[in-house]
Formats: sequence, C-alpha cells, structure tokens
Amino acid sequence: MRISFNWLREFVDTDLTVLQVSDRLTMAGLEVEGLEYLGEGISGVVVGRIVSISPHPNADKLTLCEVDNGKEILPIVCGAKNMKAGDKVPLAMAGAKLPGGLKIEKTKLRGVMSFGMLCSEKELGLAKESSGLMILTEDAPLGEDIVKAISLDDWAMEINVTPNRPDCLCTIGIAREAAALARTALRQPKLRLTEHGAKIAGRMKVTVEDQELCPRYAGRLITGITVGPSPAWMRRRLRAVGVRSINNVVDATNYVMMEMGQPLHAFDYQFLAGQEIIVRPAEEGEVFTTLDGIERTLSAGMLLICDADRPVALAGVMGGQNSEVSDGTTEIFLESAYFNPPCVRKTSRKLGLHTEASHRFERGADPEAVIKALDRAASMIAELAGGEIAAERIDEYPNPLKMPVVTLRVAKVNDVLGAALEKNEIADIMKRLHIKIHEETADSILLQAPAFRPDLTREIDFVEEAARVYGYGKIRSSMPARAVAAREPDVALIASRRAREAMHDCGFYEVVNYSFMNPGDFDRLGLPEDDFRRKTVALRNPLSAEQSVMRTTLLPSLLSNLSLNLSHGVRDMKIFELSRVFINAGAGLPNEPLKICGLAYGVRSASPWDAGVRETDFYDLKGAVEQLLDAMRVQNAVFASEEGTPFLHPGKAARLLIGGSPAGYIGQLHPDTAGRWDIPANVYVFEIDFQSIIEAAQELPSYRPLPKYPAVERDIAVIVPTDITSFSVQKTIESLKLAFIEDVRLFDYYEGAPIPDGKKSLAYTVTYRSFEKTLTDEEVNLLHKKIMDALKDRLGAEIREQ
Amino acid sequence: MPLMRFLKNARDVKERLENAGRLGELIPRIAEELGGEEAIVSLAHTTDDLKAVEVELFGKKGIISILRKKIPQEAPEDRKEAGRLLNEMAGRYEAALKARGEELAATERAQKLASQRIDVTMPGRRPGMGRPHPITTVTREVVEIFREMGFSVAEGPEVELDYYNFEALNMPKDHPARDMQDTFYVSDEVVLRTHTSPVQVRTMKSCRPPVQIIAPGKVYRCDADVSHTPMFHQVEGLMVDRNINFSHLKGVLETFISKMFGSGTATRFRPSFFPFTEPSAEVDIRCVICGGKGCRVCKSTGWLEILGSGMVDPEVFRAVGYDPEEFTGFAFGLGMERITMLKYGIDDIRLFYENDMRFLRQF
Repeated sequence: MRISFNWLREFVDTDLTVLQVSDRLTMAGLEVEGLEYLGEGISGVVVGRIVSISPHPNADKLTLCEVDNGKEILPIVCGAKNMKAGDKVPLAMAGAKLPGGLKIEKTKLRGVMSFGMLCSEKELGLAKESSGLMILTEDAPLGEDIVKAISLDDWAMEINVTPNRPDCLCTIGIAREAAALARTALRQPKLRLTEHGAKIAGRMKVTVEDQELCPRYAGRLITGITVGPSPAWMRRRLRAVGVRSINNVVDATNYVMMEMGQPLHAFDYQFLAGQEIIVRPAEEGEVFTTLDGIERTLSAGMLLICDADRPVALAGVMGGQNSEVSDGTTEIFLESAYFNPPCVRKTSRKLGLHTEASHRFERGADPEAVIKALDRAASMIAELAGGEIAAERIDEYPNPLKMPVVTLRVAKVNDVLGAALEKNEIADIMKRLHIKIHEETADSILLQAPAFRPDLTREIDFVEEAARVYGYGKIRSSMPARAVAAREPDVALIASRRAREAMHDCGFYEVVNYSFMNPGDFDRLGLPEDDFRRKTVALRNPLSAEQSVMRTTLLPSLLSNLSLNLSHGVRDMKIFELSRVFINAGAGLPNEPLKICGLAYGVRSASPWDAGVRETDFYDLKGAVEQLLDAMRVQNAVFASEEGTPFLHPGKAARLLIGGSPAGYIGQLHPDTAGRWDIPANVYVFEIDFQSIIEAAQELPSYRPLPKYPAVERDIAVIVPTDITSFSVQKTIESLKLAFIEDVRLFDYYEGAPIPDGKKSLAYTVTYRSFEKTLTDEEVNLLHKKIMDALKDRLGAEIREQ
Repeated sequence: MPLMRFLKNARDVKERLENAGRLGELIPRIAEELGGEEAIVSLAHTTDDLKAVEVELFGKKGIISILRKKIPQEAPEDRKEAGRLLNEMAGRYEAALKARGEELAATERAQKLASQRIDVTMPGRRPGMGRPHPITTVTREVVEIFREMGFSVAEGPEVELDYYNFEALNMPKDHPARDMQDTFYVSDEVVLRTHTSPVQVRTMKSCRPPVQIIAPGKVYRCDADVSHTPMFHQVEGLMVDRNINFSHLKGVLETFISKMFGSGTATRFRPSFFPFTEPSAEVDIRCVICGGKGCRVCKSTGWLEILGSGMVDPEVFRAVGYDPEEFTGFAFGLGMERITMLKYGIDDIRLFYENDMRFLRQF
C-alpha cells in the first residue's frame, strides 16, 4: 500500500517527521518497507513563464524562448513544440539538477546562449515518456521551486499491510493508526454535498436478491456531468500513491478508495436497461465481458450486478464493458456496496482477476463507510465534472452487520504476554483504537470493535491489540522453565550427518537440487513403462514442464550438475545428494523415501605432478560406497552384478543388496544415457535407499577381545574362467566354514599372457589365527589344502605355483 | 696417504713381532711406533677406514691379538706386567676407536639425510575431501543451537494435505492469508508444503504437551526470481506447555540470535500477522552488513528481518485437540537461505541450487 505523507497529514495533527511516523507504524505492525521522496534529485528548477517564442536563427528544430523566472528574463533554447507564449513551465536554471544526475549549465546551442532548460515530465522523473514540455497550471506561483509548486515535496510511504488489516488499505486507515500511536486526534475529510431536483427513487430501482452475498448496496445518481481530464492536483495526488489518472469520474472514485478504503463503481446510467439494478448470484456457465475486454465464464457462487436485461458488473471485482463510463457519458449511477468477503475472493481466484476492489472486499471492507464514501465521491464528481446529484440515495441494508461483543480478561492479556499491564492501560489502548468499551469489571473489559476492524472478534485478537500498541519492546524477555518432554534420540538426523561426513571423507561434495524433475527424463533413462520411478507426483501448476513432477530418482539432477560444471571446464567431480524422492502410492500421500545418490567423474589423482594420474573407475566409486556402508556400520551388504539397469553399462553395473533385499545400484553410466545428457561416458553413479541403510546400521559395534596369538598368512593364487567372480571364490572359501580363518583378501588380479584367453588369475591372502594357541605349520597346511581342493573341485580353479 | 702409511707401518710392526724380545719392552715401543691412539683414529675419515684400523689392531691377525698370543711365551715373572701393559694399550685404542666411530657415524648420517632433501614446496598428495552444502552447514548450526535449548527434531511429509498445511493452521480455503504463500498444488486436497508448520500440527495431534520441537526441511512456493526459488529450506520451532508466554518467546529467540550472530546483536520484535499465531512478531536484527547505518542489503532500514514468530493461535490448538485455556505456546520459523546469505555474504539465492563446483568449493 502506497501512501502520501502529505495526504496523511491532512488527517493527523502531528509534528512527527516522516521517519518518526514510519518507525512508529513499523513497530506497531504496519511495516514501512520503503520511503521515496517525490522530489528526489530535483533542485534549482522553478516555475517560469514563457514571455515570447522566436525561431532559433541557426536551427529549424529549435526555438528561442524568453522565460521569466520572477526575477529576470532568461533566454532559453528549447526543442519542444507544445508551448505558447504565456505558458508556465518548469525552468531548470544553470546549476539545476534533475533526476538521474543530469546537471544543467548555461551553454551555447548552435551559436545562441541558453541559460537553462525547460523541462518535460520525463525530465523531472514524473513520467516514463512525454511528448513535450510540462505545461503548469496558471495558478502556479512564478519563481517558486517546482518541488513545492507541483506537490513533489512529499514522501511516498510503501506500507506492507498484512491481510488481517483491510482498514489500513487507505490513507485514513493509516492516519487512524498513526493518530492512535501518537495519541493525537484524527481529522475526518470535510463533506459538502448538495442535492438537486427529483429524488433518485423514481429514476433508479435496486433489488438485492442475495443479501448474504451482498449485505449492503447503496447508490446515487448524478446527471449533467462532463467527463474529461482531472485537474492537476488530482492527477498529482493519484500519481503520488501510484494510481494512473483516467478521467475525472473514475479518478474521483479511485481518490475516495485510496482515501477511505471503499471501492466504488460508476455505471453509465444510460446503458442501465430498465433503470434498474438487480444483485443476483451468477449462473453456472454464464458469460460476461469485464471492462478489460476479456470474456469470462462464470460459475455458481459468484455475484453479479445486473440491469433489467443483463449483467453489468462482477460484484466487488470489476465492472462491465457494456456500462463503462466513457467520454460521452453525461449521467452516472454511482455504486457503493459491501460484498461478502469469501464470495469476492472465490470469484477473484477462480477468474484469476485481482483488482484494487477485490483486494479490499475480500479482506473485508467497512460496511459503515459505504455511505460516507458514496457521498464523498458524489460530491467530488459533481465538483470536478459538473452535474447535479439527485436528491436522496439508495441504501439497501436490511440486516446491519454487528461486530461481536467480547470479554477481555486482564489476566489473559498478562498470561499470554508474560507482562503486567494494568486494566486502565489496556482500556486506554482500546479507546485509542476506536474500540467501544461497553462495560468494565474489576478484572475484565467488555469490548466491541468498530466495523472497520473485522479482524477483532475474539479475546486473543484484543490481546494482540494491547500488546502491539503497548509495544513488544517493553515486554521483558525470560527463559521458560526447561520442559521435561521426553526426548527421543534424533536417529535420522544423526544417521544423515554420519553419511554426509562419510561421503565428505571420500572426497564427495554435497549438492542440493530442486525436488522437481522433467518427466521426459524417464525416457532418457530408458526406464520401462512399469518402472516404479515412473509413479510420479505431478504438479498442477508447475513453473515449467521441466519441473512438472516430483523427483522419483535423484540421478537426473546429478547428471545435470555434471553437465553444468563440464561447461565450466571442470576436470573431475565427485558429488552426492541426500534427499527425499516422492513415489506416488495411489490413494493418499506419496511415499517419501530418503535416497543417497553419488556421482564420480574424471581424474582421480589430486597431485598432477605425480606419476600416478589416472581416471576414476568403477572400483573408486565402489570403494566410496563400501566406506559409506562401513561408516554407517552396515555389515550385511552385498554387490551382485546386474545387467538389466537400462541407464548403466551392462558389464559395469551392480545391484546393492542389504540383508538380501535390493537397496540400490552402482555402475558406469550407459554411453547412450551419457549421450542424452551430453556428458562423457566415463561417469560412475550410485543411488541407494537411505532407509535401508539406517535400518541395517548396527548402532553399537560389539567389542571383540584382541588376539593373544600370532596370525599366519598364506597366499593362494588361482586361475579361473573370467566369468567366475571374486565374490564366488570368497563365498566358496567361506562356505567351508573352516575354523581359524580370520580373513580372506584379494591382493592381485591379472589377465593376459601367460594366462590363457578366457581365464584370469586371482591371488588371495588367507589369514589364519586361533584365539587359544599359536597355530603350527601342519595345522595351517591342512586348512590351506582344504581351500585349494575346494577351489579346484567346485570352481575348476587351477592353483598357480607360488 | 696417512692412513696407508699407518697400515703399512702396522704390517711392518707385525713382521718384526715374530722374533721380538720381551713384551714388557716391546709394547711401549710398538705403541710409540704406531703413534698415539688419537693420532691413529684421526687418520680414519670414514667408517670403512676405521674398520681397517680396527682389523690391523684387533683382528685375528691384528697386532693386539698377536701380542696377546705371545704372553704365555713370556717369562713367568714378566707375564703379569706384560698383560697389564697390553690391556692398557688395547683399552686406549678401543676407546678411541669407539669415540671416533660414533663421530663418523653421526657425520655420515647427517650427510646421508642431507642428500635426501625433497622440495617441500611442491603440492601435497591429498586423500581427497568433500564439503557439505552451505545450507546444510547453516541448518545444522541452527538446529544444534535449539537442540541445546531442549528442542528435538521432528519431520513430516513434503507433499502434504491441504488440511495440515493450511486449514488446521487457521487458513481455511478462500482465506486471504493464502495469498501470502503461492502454493504448488498436486490436487484440491494435496499441496507441496509451503512451510514446515504442518509438522507442528502433526506433532501436536500425536502427543500431549509439553511439546518442544524443531522442524527443519524443504518447503515450496510457486515463485521464481532473483530473490525467490521455488524450493527453499526452513527451520520452524514450537514450544507448548502450561504458562508459556510471549516473554519466553522473546527469551528463546534472543538466546538463539546471540548464539547465531554473536552476543550483543541488537534485536527488535515487531508486530506482524500470521494466521496461525496471535500475537505475531517478526524479529529483526541490526544489519550485519552496515551495522545499522543503512545499506542495500537492509534496504536502508538498518534492520534485517530474520524470523517470523508468535503465540500459537487458539484456533490451532482447537484443531489439534488442545485446550487453549490450559495450554499456551509459541512458534517461530526462519529461512535458511536468508541466514546463509547473510552469513557468507551471498547475493544471489539461485546459486544454492545451481551446484556450481566453483561455488560449492568455497564453503
């Protein structure tokens, strides 16, 4: 809400500066978000009068003006054409400054001295475009500073009015607050209304069919008007509060709305068929063209203002094209009404049509202000556009709205605030806010809010009023006695911290992406139609098609992150994200499992001067995942090769099983997938269900006593077909369930000559240890032979000679 | 070469020893001929040199060994004296050899270490390290401050029922306050949560007071420009019990602010409006950029808005089945992006979600 400080001061008797008023309003809940001095950047510009105009001797497009500044007559060269001798214009004299930093000097233009510049509205920062000089009104005092002369010596206050305060959507509303805070009187605008001729009753008929949606409907008839531009003072004042001037009739209604908060609408009386207004609910599917020229299809529950034949306005939202005031209008019917707030809101939302009127009506206008505003606007129109106001007014208000009477307990105020306000203090605050005190008892006050405060209906509402005017700053701070609420350990929080730290330790940076994804990504990933990741939660009003469904997998986000960073020349990147995905579960809310997704790409070595620079590969990423699982104390995880993941390299992909259940994937990106994201194929990714990790995590590691006897290590090298996995060799050894085997560890892998084609060599170190004694060579040999035999028999392994 | 001369000398001495006379006379003479022990060891410049000297003296065929073998051939009355003289001589040489040996070893080790010098200015070989996203870091900091004050973490769905996100929070459909939050809709009844307040409702519905929770998480609003992203992070808190009041709200939030922004950070509580709290307050801190003088970040006001808060509205208590006459409570919420931007001086909120490594590596 934009307010003019000068306008405000018409209603509040105060010496406070604009900064002081702003501060008090802000600290009472009406946050002044911005202050703008309207004359900002203008100095040395005065009201001048053009004495004579003559052609420039050396330039066709320029003229030479003699301009009187009240003290002397200055020759000014000017490029505009719209002025004539005798006009008053803004004169920027030598040394003057204009908005935007332009400084005026006397200068020679095409051989003729010019002692200043005549200004347009654009040059004074008053308009974005202007076609010639700004011509001032005849009464502008010669030689006066332009800032004063055209009311630029004013501040526009940008006030953030919260939705509960419709009363503050106007100058008087803000003035009322300011007066209450400054403990000073509020002045009401003066009203001079003269009625003429026949009563309205015989010339206009109003029927309200739905009194719930339209509790009050009032109007006046004004005849013999001439629609035309508004006078300068009106245009300036509207401009100060950010309203565009249209014509004198519309401007008057806007002026009254900005001043008193009541939206008004003027109909061209001659277009109201039957000289009648009927206020009725719209029918489903009814069509109506609002004055912005858009044809709108209405639905039941909306409210229409109609004449005898057709709708003429959408109640509380916008008038119709068919009855709009135009230059030729001579008679108007001026409407001032109070419409049901939810009805206006529904209409405005459904049609996507938000107007100054709907903004006020849906928050709750003041039913008591309907008449005052009507009369003020009518008198203003009569004054500005000529014309006569017909005698009397229509006022359909069968069931006056009453604000509830509420008991405010002094103890409640202090219990909620933790303060010690006296009853008298509270009562004084209520009075300053125009709240009616019906009765006072020893410990409570019976209150009734004025009609312009629809937000004050419950005891707590008055507690807030007391607190806000008393001042939050005066309420002391204290710490609550420590609650004894039982505290569960924050398991998920601690687990996610541990996982993040494990990933950081592996060199991975954390990324955070939007929770949205592009549904086209499923095809780009090559997911089959029945894949669970296609069960999306779709948004009705996404910002774009690329962000139209909630993520079911984090992978596409990370691929895009890589793509962006590649465009910045990144050579290696290790990132992960820990976030929820959203799987549509049919009825009810979706499942929101936590996933951890990682990506590794590029050079592995961090020291390029060293010989060992090499590319990240599958085992680098797998190592990171193993370390993550280790950090999370997951012991029952197994990687199994997996060929069927469409977006992974079929030969370099694994499924992660935790406790035998699938928990995620790891692998190299499929070259086709990489191509679709326009990234290289040597990208390694994993995505694991984080809940599976949390559930499998062993919270407390169980202690094992340290061994007292030495271990014996024996190596074993086997040649096996290439499709025998290292895991199956290990499993074979484990399945023997031999005593004393502490560890089996792969230490070498080799393919190529002299190993025959289709075979590979794997070498393991087996560690034997007893907790009871030192093992003898014979005991170990026996065990080792069992292993060798099993590998030969079961896997067809050939044992390599050491 | 002095060492060579000594060695030749020693061999000459040995030859003459074969037909030598009484040891008592011989030993001092030999010592004289070989030179004093210090002179001898000073000839050795390396441990190898010293080894050669040691062999000539103490080796199987060394001078000392030969002389020792001669003692039995001595006249019985001279043997004792010869033994004493020989031991004395051997002891002197031995001590000198040992001392010189240590001296040479130290020198040689020093030389060897000096030759192993590396260029310590070359970059180190890092094991590799990642870092958390700045929002994670700051959220963790905020959550920890409240956990220390007794709050525990609560979570709830991000795709939420309209009921929990709005209605139970005193925002019925068609309430103008819904304009304050541009909402993503999944259906008429399901939205992306616009704040983490539904977690408060769910918590209150599932347990009786006292309640003291903090709810960090992602929230969504249908808005995207220089200062808004469609997803951002909030931390909201709730404390409900008997006799909780606005004074406590101020106390808890001032404690938070002094821990987060430093003690002595000026704070002001300003009336505001939220449908689910009454009285409501916005909390401002003295601008951390300009110290209150007025700058671009604080829009010349000298203050930065960082928190929304208020006493839980009785309507919310009614919706969750708490008696507003028995219980009171306060709630608050703050945006992590804003706090993070202030903390690090980040000027564009969109940077958080581009995940540019040049950005992420800075935190």
